[in-house]
Amino acid sequence: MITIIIFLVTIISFKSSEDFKNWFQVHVLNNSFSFTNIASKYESLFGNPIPFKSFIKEKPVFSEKINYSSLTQYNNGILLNVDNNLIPSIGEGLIIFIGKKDNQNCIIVDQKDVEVTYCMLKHIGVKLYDHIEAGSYIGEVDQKLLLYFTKNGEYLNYEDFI
Amino acid sequence: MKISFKIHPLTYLSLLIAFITGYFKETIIFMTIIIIHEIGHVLTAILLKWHIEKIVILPFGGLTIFNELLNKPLIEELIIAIMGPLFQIIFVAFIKNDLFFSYSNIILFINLIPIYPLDGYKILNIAFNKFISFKKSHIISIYISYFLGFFLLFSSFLKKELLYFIFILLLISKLKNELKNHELLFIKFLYERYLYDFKFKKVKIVSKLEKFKKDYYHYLNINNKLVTEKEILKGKFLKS
Repeated sequence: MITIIIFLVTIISFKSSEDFKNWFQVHVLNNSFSFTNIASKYESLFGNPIPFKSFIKEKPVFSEKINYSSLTQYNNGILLNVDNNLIPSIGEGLIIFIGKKDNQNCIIVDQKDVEVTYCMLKHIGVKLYDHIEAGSYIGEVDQKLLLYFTKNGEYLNYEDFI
Repeated sequence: MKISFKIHPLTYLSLLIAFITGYFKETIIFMTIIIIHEIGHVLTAILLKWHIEKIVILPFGGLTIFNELLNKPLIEELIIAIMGPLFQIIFVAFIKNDLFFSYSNIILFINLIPIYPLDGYKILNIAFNKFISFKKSHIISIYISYFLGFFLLFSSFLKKELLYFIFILLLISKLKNELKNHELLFIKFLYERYLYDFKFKKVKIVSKLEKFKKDYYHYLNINNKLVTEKEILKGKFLKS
């Protein structure tokens, strides 16, 4: 019932106010909900929401960094010529998107303070809403990896992250 | 048979926290396993013709509450108690998924700790009832529950695990009520024996009512004379 009410109020507000529509576009559709930030704040104060989770030892497939021979700017991201086709995650986070962007297989990882988009993947080794550690395997590319670093729809400087 | 189904308010809180911290998958897996676990208890209870009052879903487990006689056979109690974990284990073995396996182990661990009203407590109480009187089994099981409950409360406080801390507090509050009802439960245990003709195969001679055991019919040795439990209980309940 509450969901229906919220939905109807939102639709009516859309119809009646252009300002509300713009505000909604910026703050709801473009902004992303940072689960990782909230999770890390919650866990620092109140521990993991799942008790005894620390006893689950997830066996890492590998623990690596992205090594590349060359880096070029590409649109708002960077195109890397990687040394190893197996791609590790740059940081710890939550997989919030798996699918096609501009006809490429991409995944988006919600890390603390940044969303990292990995594109040109030929194989994806994670599932939606997986929590991943830094350096854990996320997918495979042929030779090139396309990366974007964004926060609330704005592109960030790659040098802060890689 | 009308069975009511309830989700505890603490469960809603834990679901909300899980949602905003992004633990969607883990929550779905947890809830699935808990429901499968309770189905195990419910199906077995139905087969054994037990009356189920309600099913309550707690954050890290569930409760199937029965409206049944206290003098039900111990073996039936045991079968119902273990069928929950067993169902869960079979389901997880069938699914063959590492995440389900890991979280199932967490739920099994939480559930088999002998704290009232979890399955671990029931199994422990059943084991005690096999060897000692109903009254003593109940009180010892409660004291063990209290000890473990406070130990877990303290350790979850040190490890800063808020949800689990609140969950243990909830269990301790239920434990407090159970302790308060200790004498009442014993009276109920005796009163059922006065009202109904249970067909117990085993017989025991005791010196007082407090030594009555489940699954046994008793004779009381009063001034070197054996009196049936029915006669003693008639005297007790008709007088009052």
